Amino acid sequence: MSTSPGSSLVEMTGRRWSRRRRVNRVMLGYALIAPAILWRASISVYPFGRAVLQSFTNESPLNAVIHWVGWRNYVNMFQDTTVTQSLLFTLIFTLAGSALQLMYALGIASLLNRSFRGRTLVRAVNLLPWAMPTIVIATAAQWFFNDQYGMIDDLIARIVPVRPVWLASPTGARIAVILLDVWKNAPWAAIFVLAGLQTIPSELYEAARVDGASPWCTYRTVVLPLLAPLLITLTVFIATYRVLSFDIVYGFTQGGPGYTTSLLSYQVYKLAFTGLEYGYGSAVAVFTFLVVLCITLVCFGFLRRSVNYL
Amino acid sequence: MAAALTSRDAAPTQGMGRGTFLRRAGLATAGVALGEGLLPGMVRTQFASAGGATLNISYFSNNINNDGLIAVFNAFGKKNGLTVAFNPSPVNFGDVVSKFTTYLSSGYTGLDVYWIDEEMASTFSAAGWLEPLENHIAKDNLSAIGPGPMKLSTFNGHVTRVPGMAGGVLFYYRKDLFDKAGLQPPRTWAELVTIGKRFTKGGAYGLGFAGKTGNTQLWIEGCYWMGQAGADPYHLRTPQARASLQFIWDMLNTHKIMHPNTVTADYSLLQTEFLEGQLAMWPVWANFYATFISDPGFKKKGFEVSVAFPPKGPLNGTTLSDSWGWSVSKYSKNKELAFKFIDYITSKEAETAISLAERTDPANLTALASMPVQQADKDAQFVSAYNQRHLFRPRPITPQVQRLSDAFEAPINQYLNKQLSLSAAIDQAQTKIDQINQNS
Repeated sequence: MSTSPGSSLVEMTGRRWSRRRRVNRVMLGYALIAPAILWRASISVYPFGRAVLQSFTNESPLNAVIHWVGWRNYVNMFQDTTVTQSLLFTLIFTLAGSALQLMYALGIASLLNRSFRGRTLVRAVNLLPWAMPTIVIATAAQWFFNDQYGMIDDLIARIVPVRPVWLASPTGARIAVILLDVWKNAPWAAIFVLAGLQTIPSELYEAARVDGASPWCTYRTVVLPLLAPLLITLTVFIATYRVLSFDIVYGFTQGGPGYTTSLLSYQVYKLAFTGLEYGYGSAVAVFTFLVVLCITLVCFGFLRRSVNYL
Repeated sequence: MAAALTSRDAAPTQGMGRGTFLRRAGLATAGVALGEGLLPGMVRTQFASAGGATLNISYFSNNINNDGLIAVFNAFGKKNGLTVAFNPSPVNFGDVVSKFTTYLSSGYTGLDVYWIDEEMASTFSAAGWLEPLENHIAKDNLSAIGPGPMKLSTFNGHVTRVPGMAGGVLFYYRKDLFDKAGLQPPRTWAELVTIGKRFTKGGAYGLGFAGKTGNTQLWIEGCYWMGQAGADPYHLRTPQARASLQFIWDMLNTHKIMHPNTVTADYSLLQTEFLEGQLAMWPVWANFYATFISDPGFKKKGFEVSVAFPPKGPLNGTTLSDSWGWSVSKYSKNKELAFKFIDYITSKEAETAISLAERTDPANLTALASMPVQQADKDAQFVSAYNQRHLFRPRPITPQVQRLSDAFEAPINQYLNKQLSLSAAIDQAQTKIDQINQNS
């Protein structure tokens, strides 16, 4: 570097000019992505903010005057049996559905990870339930589970002389909803787990076999720990989608019998779109968001811990 | 584009600089925005080339390609030099309510004329979404409609809906099964139970009942049966209400003349069971007759459906009336055309033509009583017979009907399903109903 005053002035000017160019380039970048951010804000942030504000009012097209009601909607929510029952089943549906889906996905992925003739076709066929629209499956499921005309009861009756009336019983209806959801969505999770399984080096399996580990021991001590980050991330998605599920209940049971299979998102729909209670419905929607947020934070906490452990 | 984006600006292992990232993201965004801006323009051009005004109407039909129906709509279009775009309504009533509520609450301008029932008319009128019609429709058309349907089409002194179809719940029964058993239709609740037991065997049941929640069907059943005992679903703490609900429970759980899946049964399932001979009797809306006789197996298997007067309850043997009609959206950009269309479509001639094409019962009483309609549509004969005896009574519809029906249905469904006692169900339902009425 030159030490003369003239040259340092040139260097300083040059550095300033280069910094200015950098700043201009960065500002240009921000300006170019600003429309996307504004768009995203308008379709996500604004509606969310609006819903939060609305949840503190009695807004409804049937009310001539809109009042600020404070926390009343939130207080009423916990005193409303329909909402509390919906919350209860949402938790049952999320926990049981997520656990079953993960186990089912692990099982399918383990099978699809093996080498056999026709594996590619089987992998494609495996995705068929996921590829079908949920509302179509849910509507058809009303007939699948029908005790007189349904395929499921027909198969059961061929083995034992019993035709359970699935949807008339609260427990039966809940089981049916959860099973249908698992059948529909597990293939999607299986594909992710399969991708994870395929990243595990075969040398690890070899090493475990050489050490005398049984298949189950290998699975438990080698495969699952390596899959843990993927499984936890998958759990976040699966659990979130379960909490936000709507179409399966809308098409299948409409929340019945009574409100035993109603989910929070279905309640939001009933309150806002058929009951026209925008304020109260928004309160339930905001509460649903908080439930999803809690689940996400808990799962990411586990994820961080599992990464540190590994 | 993908190749351009994976450029030499940064080594893959080192990541990308902020400026580079922002520049690339901006270019991608500009590309997407340009595409989105161009595409709607291209689509608009395609529609505009069709030429002329378009009036968008909704209507429910079992056969959306019905030539007779389309001809009635097109006749208006031809006469006025415009296109009448027919938007079929969803089959499921709940879907119709969802769709129209979404359209109107969002200010959707793409549908001008709505085909709605009494429940939607009440709610949408209270929300201020429908245009007053009384000054735009011929007095003859309005005066030819029965007082019941007109009352439920009028809100705050304004006619917000002109009924085009009117009927009610008719007591359908499988005449072939009755003839085979040598029985006559029941005339009282007691006979209903006795006859119902005769048909309940081998997987078949005596009576159909829509017990499913969420679609107002259970609420409608409540209105029907409770009304015959002098009660209604909004005032449950009366002896008449208790007695009628207890009777329904007994039909299901004591006498067992209804199928165990009644608490999840909707019209779709009941229609299948009725046509399959699994149900002998089913009180349901009049327009179902057209659905029955259009079933391919109907004539082939020797089915015969007829209608009797409703079995008399403790107080009366009345039944529910119902009507569907035409309304104009407040957000329509073609209001004058829409008014003209409704004036045309509710004339005696148009209603007769639709009735003959669709096998529905016109709200225009002159059209209903006309020979062609009476001869072509058996349902019209039944509706006329019920009208002559003044058997129809309206449902207790208010703008909060959706919320009130939900408040009634859930606890009563649980009561019928033996999850709640009668007293608990009544308490829960009435508390919620009172809360809704208080807040409205």
